[in-house]
Order: sequence, then C-alpha cells, then structure tokens
Amino acid sequence: MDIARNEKVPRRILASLINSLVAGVVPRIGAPYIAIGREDEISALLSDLENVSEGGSSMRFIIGKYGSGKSFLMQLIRGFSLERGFLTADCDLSPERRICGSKGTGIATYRELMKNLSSKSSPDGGAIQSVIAKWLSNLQLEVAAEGLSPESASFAERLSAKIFDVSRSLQSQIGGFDFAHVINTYYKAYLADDDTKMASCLRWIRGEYSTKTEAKSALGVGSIIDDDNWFDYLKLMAVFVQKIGYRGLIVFIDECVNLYKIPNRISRENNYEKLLSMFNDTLGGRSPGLGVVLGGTPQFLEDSRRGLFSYEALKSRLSDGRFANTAFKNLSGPVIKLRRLSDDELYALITRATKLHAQYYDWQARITQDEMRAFFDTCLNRIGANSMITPREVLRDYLSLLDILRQNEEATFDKVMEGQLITPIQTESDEANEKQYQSFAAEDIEI
Amino acid sequence: MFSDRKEYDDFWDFKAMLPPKKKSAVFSRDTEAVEIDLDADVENNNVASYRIPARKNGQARVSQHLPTLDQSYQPNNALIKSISVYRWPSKYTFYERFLANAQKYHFFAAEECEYVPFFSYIPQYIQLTKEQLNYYLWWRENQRRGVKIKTDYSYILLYIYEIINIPDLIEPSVGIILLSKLYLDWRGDFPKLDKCMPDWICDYCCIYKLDPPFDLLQGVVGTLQSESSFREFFLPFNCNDEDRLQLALLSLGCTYNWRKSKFYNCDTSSLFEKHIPTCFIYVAKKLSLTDDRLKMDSSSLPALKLTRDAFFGSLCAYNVKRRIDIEYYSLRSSPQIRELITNIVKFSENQIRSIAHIRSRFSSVNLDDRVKKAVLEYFAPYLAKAKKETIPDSEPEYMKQYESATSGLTPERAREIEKRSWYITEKLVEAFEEDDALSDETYDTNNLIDSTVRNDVTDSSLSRADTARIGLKHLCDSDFESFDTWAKSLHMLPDSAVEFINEQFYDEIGDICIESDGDRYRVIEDYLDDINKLI
Repeated sequence: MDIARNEKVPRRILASLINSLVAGVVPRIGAPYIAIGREDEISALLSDLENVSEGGSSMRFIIGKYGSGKSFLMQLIRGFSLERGFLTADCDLSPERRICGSKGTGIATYRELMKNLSSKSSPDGGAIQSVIAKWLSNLQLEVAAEGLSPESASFAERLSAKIFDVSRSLQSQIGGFDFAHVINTYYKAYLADDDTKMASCLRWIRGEYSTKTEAKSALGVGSIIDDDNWFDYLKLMAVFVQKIGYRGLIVFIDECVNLYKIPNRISRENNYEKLLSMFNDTLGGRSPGLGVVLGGTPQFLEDSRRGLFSYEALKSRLSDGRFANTAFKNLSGPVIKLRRLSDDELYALITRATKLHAQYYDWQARITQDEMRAFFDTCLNRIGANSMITPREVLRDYLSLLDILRQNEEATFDKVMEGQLITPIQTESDEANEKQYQSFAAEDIEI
Repeated sequence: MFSDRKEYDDFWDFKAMLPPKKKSAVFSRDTEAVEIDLDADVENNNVASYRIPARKNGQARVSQHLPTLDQSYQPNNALIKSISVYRWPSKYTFYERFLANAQKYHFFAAEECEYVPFFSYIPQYIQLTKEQLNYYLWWRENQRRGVKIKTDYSYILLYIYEIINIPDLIEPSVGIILLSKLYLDWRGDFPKLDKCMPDWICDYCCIYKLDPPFDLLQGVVGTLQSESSFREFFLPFNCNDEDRLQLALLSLGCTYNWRKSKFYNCDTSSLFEKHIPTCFIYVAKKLSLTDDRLKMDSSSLPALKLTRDAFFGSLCAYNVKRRIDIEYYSLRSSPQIRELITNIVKFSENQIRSIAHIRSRFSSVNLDDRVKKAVLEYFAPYLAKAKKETIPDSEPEYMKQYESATSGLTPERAREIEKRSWYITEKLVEAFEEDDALSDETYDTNNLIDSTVRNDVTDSSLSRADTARIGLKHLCDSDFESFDTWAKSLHMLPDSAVEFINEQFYDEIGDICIESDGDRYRVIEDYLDDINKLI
C-alpha cells in the first residue's frame, strides 16, 4: 500500500469529509478519498470531461437505486471538474423545479443552476460574477502585455475590441446576440463603475427577469431567459466560458425521479421531450463545451408506463443493445447503471474510513479486523439489509462507533456493540481467512 | 236605390266581383301517348277545341298518397308488440328504371375481367360504363359463390340495392342471407357498412317477416345493437328465456360500456365476461320479487311506437319502399332503470377489480343497500379466494441489473479493492499538470503576470510565488487596502488575484488557502500554520 502510506489528506478537506460522513450527507469536498469501487464508471465520466474540454459535448444518465452512490459519484466528478478548470452548475429537481413546465418550473431549474455555478476559486456557487470579473481582468492583462499603457486611450480601445471579438463570436448561437449585448453592457457598466447596471446584467444572465418589458427597460434587450429557452442559454454559456478560458461547463441535475413522479401525463411527456431535445443537442455535437450529467432511479429510466422508457424516442436511444448482458458492463452508452456496492466494496469502505478517521484525529483506532468484520456482519444481518443497506448508513454508524471509542478510553468494541452483535455464519473460506487474520492488530493498519 | 230585396241582397254577393276560379287539371305523370281520332267530333275543323280523352287506366296508375296497410303481425320477439308495414305514400313513381335494370341484370352471366374502379354516391346501372358493368357482374358472380375479389364500396351498394329492390326475383329468405354475408365479408374493408346495414337488415326482416339470422351475425351482434336505430330488434331472445331477457336489460339499459374499462385487458377480460352478466342475472332474479324496476316481463316496461322509413338512405324503388310502424316495449325509456342497471354494473366492476388486485375503484356508486348486499353476496366466494391468493409485490425484471454483482464478504478481496482504490483517488486529486496547460486561445494568467508586473510594485526578479506571497501576507495581516492596491498593480481584480494566490500554493498546501466569506477574502484558519511557513 505504498501510495496510501505517503498520501496526506489536507486537513481542511479531511475535516469536511469526516463531518459529511458522520452527518450522512454526500461530501462536497474530499469525495475522492472514499471513492471505493466504481473505477470503470469514474473512468467513463473522466473521458467525457476530456471530450468536453476538446470542444465536444456529452450527456450521461447515472441510474441507481436509492443509496447506491449516484449523488456521491456526481459530487466526485463535480469536484474533479472544478479542479481541472471546468465550471460546474448543479441542482436537484423537485416539484417546483423541472426540465420543462409552465408557471416557471423550467426557468427555476436554470436559476438554481446559475445560482450554483461554481469555479475552482468559488466551489460553493455564486461564481458568475467572479467568472466575468476574472475574464475582464485577464483581458486587461493581455492588452497590457501587448505593450499598451493602461492610462492610454488605445488601451481602452484595444480592450473593447477584444471584448467585442468574444461577444461577436457568440452571436451565431441561439440567443447569442442578446447575450453578447448584455456582456457588452456589463463591460461598459464596469468601466463606468455603474454597480446597478452590472447587477442588472447579472440578473439577466441568471434568468431573473420575468418580463421582456422589464429587461428592455433595464438593459435594452428584447428577450429574456424563460421556461422555453433556458437550455439554449445554457449552451450559450458553455460556449462563452470556453472562450474566456475555462475548459467547459458541466451541469449536474440530480433527483430526476421527480419527473417520473409528475402525475399529469402530458406534463411528464413534455419534460421527456425536452430531455430528448437536450440529448440530441449534446450527443449531436450542437452543444460545444457542455457536459450534462443526470441522476435518477431505475424506475425513472425503465418504468414502461411512466419512466423515460415510456417515451419511445428516449427508449430507443437509452435502452441497452441486443447484446447487453447483466454479467458484462458496457459504459459506452449514455446510461451508467450503478450496481449496489458489493459486500467486499462496503468492507473496503469501512477500512478506508478507519484510516481517514485515524489521520484526522491523529490516533490509533482501537478496533481489530475481527471487530470490523463483526460490525459489518451486524449491518448486513439487519432486517432488509440485503436490499436496502447503503454505504451512507454503514459509514455513519461506523464513524459513530469510532468516535465513541475515541472519546471514551474505557469503551471497548464489545461493550459499545452489546446486544447488537450477530455471530456470522462461518464458511470454510471464512475459517481459513480468520486464521490468517488472527494475528492482525490495529497497529498493522498503515496509513 | 234597390228596387227589391233580392237586388239588395245581391249587392253583398261578391261572387260576381271575384275572378273565376281556375279549375286545376287532373295532373298525371304518365307520359304515354293516347290515340285520338281527329275526324270525329271536330267542330269547324278546329283541332284546338278537340277534347283529349281521359287515360283509360290513368287514375289507377297514380300512387295513392295515403298509406295503405300491407301487413301487420306480431314477431317472435318479446320486446316487440307488433309490426305494421304500409306501402309508401307518394304521388310519384321513382327509380322505376333502376328496378327494370335490376330485373334485367339479375340473370346476366358474368365473364372474368380486370378490375375497374367505380364511384357514385347513389350507384345505379345507368352510371356504369360497359367495363364497369362487366366488372360488377363478374364481382357479383364471385360474391354469390363466396369468393372475395377486389371491389369498391359503390359496387357493394349497387348489389345491396339490387337485393332490396327485387324481392320477387330474390326470395327474401335468401335475400337476408345474401345481405348478411355481404355485410360480414366487407365490413372490415368498408367500415361505412356498419352505419347503414344494421338498419337495412332490420327493415328487410320487418317487411318480409323474417327473424334476424343470428347464427350468421353472432359475431357482430354488438355492432348491430349499437349502430342500429332500433336496438331492441337485435336482441337474441325469445319470450320464454328469462335469463336472456335480463341480459337484454343489461345490454340496453346500461349506459356504461364495461368492455371499454381501462382495466379490461387480456388478463382481466375473462373475469369481466364471466361475472358482469352472471352477477346481474343473479341480482335481477333476487330483487325482481321486491323491486318492480327489475321485473323482466314485458308488461312492466313502457310501450312505445316507432315509425321507420324502410331502407332510409338507400336506393329503393317506389313499389318496394315501405313505411314500418313498430310497437315495442322500451328498455331505454326509463332513466331510473338505466341508472340502477349502470350502478349495478359499476359496483360489480369494483368487486372484479378487488379480485384482480387493482386498487382503483369507482367512487360513490349510488346503490340501494339491498342491491349492494346482493352483489356482494354473489362475489363473496370469489373475493375470499382472491384474498388468500394475494400476489406478492414482485420487483420488475430490470431491477436485477442494479443489484451487486457478487455476494458474500472475502476480506482479502476487500483489502485488494481498498488498495486499488488509491490509484483512482490519486488520479482524481493530482494537481493540474503542465502538459495540460491551457491552449493559446485561452488565458494563462501566470504568463501574463510575468510580462506585465510593474516594477514599482514588485521587483522584476520576483518569481510568481514571491509575488503571490506579497498578496498572501497582506491578507494574513488583514490589510485589505494593501491587498487591493497590490491586485490593482497587477492589473487584476481582487477575485483574480485570490485565484492566482490559490493556484500558486495549491501544490504545497493541497487545498485553496483563501476563501471568500461574503464580504472579503480571508485566509483559511486551518492552514494558518502552513501559510505562515510559506510567507
């Protein structure tokens, strides 16, 4: 375990990670350190990022049961994207936020995405302002690098020309003209130090104008971002961020099961139609620099009455091919099906958690391999565990156990687990393994 | 003024003042010529004054415009009290030529020929070209033999009109078979036949005292009942079969088509077909003693009179057309009975849904408690059986793909997995590599700073890291003004300057060292020690 021995997890990350795991929430920071299993899925998603950074586009559905690790995988890739120079935007769908709908349910999704737009330096969202500010200041540096003095008139001219170059290149996209106009207005407001105008521009980009009249009077643009065209503006944003120096825009939309739950069939099919349109645009190469990752449950995908497969056009695009086999993985398609973590993988997760906990608190975990095994068997043998046990619950309970052992010198594993231990059924291989590991102690666990 | 009384009375007699009334001539449509003899009775050789003699049989040939009874009888149908057939009241003759042609062509032999299309709204022989006539005869020949060849709807109508108009040449008992077979053979290809044939078959049977050929038409009885304007005619029952009477009541009285229920499918159809009629008969028998509404003999039903224009919409010659008066017992006239029957059916369907483990139910079925009790009594054994056979919730087949591939724990395998996962962790957390440097089209902040850093703020010999340390130190000292000045000197906005610092020290600290707290940028306290070492 050479790499692990030298691996130092930054303390801030470790703190955030441990706190998230104890709380039973998906860690926003530090997820790579507990990425157990899923190598193939992660590799597939990383190759999508590579494709996006080269000007392509991608769309993936991550489908798995509750607790299978969909949100974790999405957070993992999100963190990686941020580190790699992408911008990310994420949101969870809900009854108030859909892909398409009247009464503002479609634009609500876009607003949430823009609110959560993140960059490496603003990983928690709200990055739109800093992204544009960074772009403008980089342009200034570029012009200065050409030898022009910042006080000279030609500096301002040259700077304006560079800004118009970028905004002009957006005009060929749908909505590009108005978007370019807003960017130019923002720049002029920035030069004039007009905070009100700059705020109006940001409002428009975030889709917060509800009427064209309002937008027209504030910014002089005749269109707004609304329920019908928000995805077009998302595509435009992806092109823009690539032009200003980022690798691309990655959008994460989770809890897509809320679309499956829409009771009205027409409304549900409108959403699926919009998804189809997004799918065709991204996989047809008409969304350069944009990656979309959607998370949902198996029912959301495969239910023939209400799921995506009830919509024939999506079914033909998303269903497995003729040669699909449950024994073999195929991650080249748009759907990544997450199997439940196996018992080995869950046990590996516990082992990792032990190491991280020990590093964070700088102590030697007072727990042996046998005790870890006993804890694990207790988890598995609870009623319903064979179908419902999730890594979230296992980690939360295990870290809670470690915390108790750490904070109470007199506490032992047996005492803490009193009454809850279940003797596992021993097989021949178990007996052989037990002999091998009987000599192991906690000190043998290397970090 | 007036000399006598008579003259006085005559003054008020206006008859003399009124113009004389023209006597209307007895107008006959008969255009046959009449022979006259001009030599006789001619006054002054003035032909104009010769009186043309009246037609010998002219009066007899003009149709009576009052209907005359042809026949009246009671059919073999408990719901029909009597049928009276009248000759069609009309002053005029019509479609005589068609009749003559039909009689003529009935005996024509056919020769095989190619298909020729033909269209007419009211097809007649005179509209056919020679080729069309040949093909019609050939098609008719095949139809008579039971061989189906290509045809048009107009050809079919022509043959139907032929059968209807020559009952003297085509025996009605044969004619009804021909009509029924024609209907069955072609209703799939020409669904329009469903709109007209039920009524025409009904009229044909009524006129010629025939029973509907149910043995032939059993497959389409439902369509006949639903499409015909006189549904009672197509109820297959006789006076002595009480069950069939009750089924007739169910068929005609129920406004809800249970066969179109959204839960009527290949799995549940057998339940519906078995239980709905049977349950209704059971309930009707049980309640008929106490509820007059469900008594099934004719005397309890209201009698109505219906007048039918026979073969309405078809081509029918004047001497074939009839008016049919029908007196019958209506099952449809009472809304209360229909509501009761419909509710019984809906309540029965609720029980069927329980048996089939379907949750959805008709709500608030308005039924008397006695009726509900009778329905539940019928379904009791089936419901009890269904409860025992509760179907366990089975997971859909596709869920298997989401279960873990392996089961059982092998600690050695688990250790291997944990060890291997560090490789993916390293891949995910490794720092931004030089080989992946931004392309020329994008902005490389670091290179730009190298070329643009002003001498009065920083020494030209300072590296990027040293430059960043200056800014970092200002933030550690909470000297925000100096930080802003420093950023400005680098022609950077504070956001960009913070990003620059974070990028410079990411490798050493392993994380960003400055974050925004909303208002300002601050150093992350967790890394204060490391930062102090750096600066």
